[in-house]
Amino acid sequence: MDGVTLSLDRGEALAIVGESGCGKTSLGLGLMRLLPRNTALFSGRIVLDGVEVSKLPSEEFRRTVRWRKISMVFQGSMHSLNPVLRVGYQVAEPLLAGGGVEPSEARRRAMGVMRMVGLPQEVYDRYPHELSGGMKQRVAIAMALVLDPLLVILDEPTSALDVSIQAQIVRLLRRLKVERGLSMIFITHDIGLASYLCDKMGVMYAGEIVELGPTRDVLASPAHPYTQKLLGSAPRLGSPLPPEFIPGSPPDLVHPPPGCRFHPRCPYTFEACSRTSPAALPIGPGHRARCHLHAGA
Amino acid sequence: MMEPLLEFRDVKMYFRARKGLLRTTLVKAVDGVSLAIYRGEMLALVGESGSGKTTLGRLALGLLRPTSGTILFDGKDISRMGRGEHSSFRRRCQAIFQDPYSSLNPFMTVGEIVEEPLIIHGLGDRRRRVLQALEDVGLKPPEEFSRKHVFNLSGGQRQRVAIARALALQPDFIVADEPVSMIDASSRAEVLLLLHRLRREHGITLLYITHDIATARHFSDRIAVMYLGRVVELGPTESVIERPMHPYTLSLIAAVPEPRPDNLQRDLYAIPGEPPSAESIPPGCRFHPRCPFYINALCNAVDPPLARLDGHRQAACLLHEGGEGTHPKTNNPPTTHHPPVRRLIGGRVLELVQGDITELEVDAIVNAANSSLKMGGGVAGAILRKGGWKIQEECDRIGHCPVGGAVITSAGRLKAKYVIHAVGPRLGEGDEDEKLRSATISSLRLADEHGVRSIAFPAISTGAFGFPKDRCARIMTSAVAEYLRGSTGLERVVFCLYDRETFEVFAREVGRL
Repeated sequence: MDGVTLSLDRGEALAIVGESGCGKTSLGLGLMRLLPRNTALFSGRIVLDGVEVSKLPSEEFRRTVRWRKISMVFQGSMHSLNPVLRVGYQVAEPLLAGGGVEPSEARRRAMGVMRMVGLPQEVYDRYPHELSGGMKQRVAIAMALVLDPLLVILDEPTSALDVSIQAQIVRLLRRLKVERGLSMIFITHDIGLASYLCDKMGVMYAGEIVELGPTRDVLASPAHPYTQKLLGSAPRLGSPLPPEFIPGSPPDLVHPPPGCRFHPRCPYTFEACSRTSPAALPIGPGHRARCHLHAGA
Repeated sequence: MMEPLLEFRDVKMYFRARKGLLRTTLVKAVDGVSLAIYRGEMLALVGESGSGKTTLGRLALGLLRPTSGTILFDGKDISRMGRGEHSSFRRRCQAIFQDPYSSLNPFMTVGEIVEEPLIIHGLGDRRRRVLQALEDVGLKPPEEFSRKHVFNLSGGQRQRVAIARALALQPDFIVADEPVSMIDASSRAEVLLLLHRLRREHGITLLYITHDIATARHFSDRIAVMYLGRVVELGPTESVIERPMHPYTLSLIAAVPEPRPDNLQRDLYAIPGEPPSAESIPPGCRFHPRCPFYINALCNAVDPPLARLDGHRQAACLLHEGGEGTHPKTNNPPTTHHPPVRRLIGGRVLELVQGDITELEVDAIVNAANSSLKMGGGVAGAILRKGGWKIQEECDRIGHCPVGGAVITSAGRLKAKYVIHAVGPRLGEGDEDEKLRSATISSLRLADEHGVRSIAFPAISTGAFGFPKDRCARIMTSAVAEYLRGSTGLERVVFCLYDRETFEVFAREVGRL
């Protein structure tokens, strides 16, 4: 992940899209300060609700920010529920562990959150193996919401689910965004899905945000060749044109290519591309792209 | 492509699953499938998890022996082949599996992986065949790739190794089970285009098993949609996508999130409920508990067969009347018919009958449409059937109708003149009682406006979404009674309940009026 600049308003949802290995998950983990120990360098500022949370000592971050202000639905978290504990207890656990909440109050609040994500009341006393995939994913979302955070990071929350359940989850997230003013970062490889939920879209390639803008503008007039290619690779029901693929594979991030990281796979490469790394250039209101093609505009 | 290479004839595959210590249940993974795969075609088998599509693929490969029915490969029953025939069948049928990270041996080089089946089948000239296969799948230069190990390869490249392994045996038929679901979106098209090309160049017949109807649209000649062990729709890809005839296909299509700039303003349709389990298959049409077009007393009673509707299209849905053998007949009529209950309210008849709503002699019947039908104009596609209902139009109109409202359409071939689609609430929407009341009143008002004298209602909101029967009965009977006491041209209102239990719940409420 390299030089990422983003901002998100209250009640706004931001999509982070890109291929696997482009750094989407690291971005989420970085915000949660959960990057692995071998993280060589973390620099820059993360400001949440006016507080520069990246400056907080890690213990204070753990106590006051993580899960209370920012929470996360991890990729595959539906598979990481504890199989021997009732799911309701697992949802209530953050309240009991650090919230200093009475058990009966914790149960009441956990049930409230579970109802909010569309789980029937009897699910509280069930074990994970008794639930379907869609229900487990709802439990994972309930766990992230139980401390009433400002921001939820959702890492591929629908990737293992059937299309029908995937659509149900996106509808649920849309409702939470509107009704509760929840801010969200939605990490996905599925642009179509993201476009139903997110106001803004950031496209990541090889650790960089190569394009960022309102979802509407990014989809209507994608400025970065990578975004264009990524859109072209999504099979569309409504179009007779078959999807295209992006030749080559994403670069090795230990030795990223010089200049623009996408240039070895880009159809429009010219000499500047392999020499200098493009800056984020303005395309429209709130819409920027890191591409030399837009330098003269 | 008229000659079938592989043919399923009423194939059933049941598994016994243990439940607890002694109890076992029967899992009907494939429950009566007849399907032909023609020489040289690419058939997409589409369905959600638990639909039985993978089991059907395994049956096609001879990896499972069906509980009943026959599977013919090249005209021969695959469970009755002799040793020699069977070995040749094994060579001619190959598989590509979902996960190229676990289906390729990490200790072997790419060359060894592709060569192994050649050794097993005792084929000569192996080196040349291996290199040729690698070249065919675009792993160039093949010499270099054959020396690599799979952990050095990307997901797309690994899947190409798996394809080369299948291809080296020069098969006639390949079953590709979710070949791209584990690899990155940007390389999916590459793998699918490769399969498409190989089919053309090598004349291979392909069964493409997928949950993703969008890729099926671009990479298949025909689509078979599976739901709970049955093929519910079958037809040429283009026509199925543009004009789906089964509500499940329609719902699958509507649930695909197409990237579009204005999606934030659009509604994404979600099929309600969970994909059901093959351990407990619903009675009647197996999709009825999730179907937006569900008609009480019909769909939960009649199990529709896959019927030819026109030319190349087949669907198993009762909405399509006509077609050979599709006239809905109640195959398990209620055994204990309750005698009708009649009451006079404001000089008009309120009647309760047990039976099939489409058989009633009334001017209008009410269809319990549901808010889940709100898929927005245009997205829904069309189910159109000569003499049947214009579902596309209904869908659009119902889609624009608020919950608690109603829409009137002609009844097509039904005995009644009109069908009124009452858009009832789903449990959990909030204000369900008021919405159910208002959907009932709106239907009656629409009927009045069209000069309807007699109208039949099913229970609007019980079956599909778990709305409690007693609540539904209380609200609907009191709404109808209130309406009949006012000024109206209606002379007869019938509640038509299919099962005795619901009938009795309604009878109790009518008794209280």
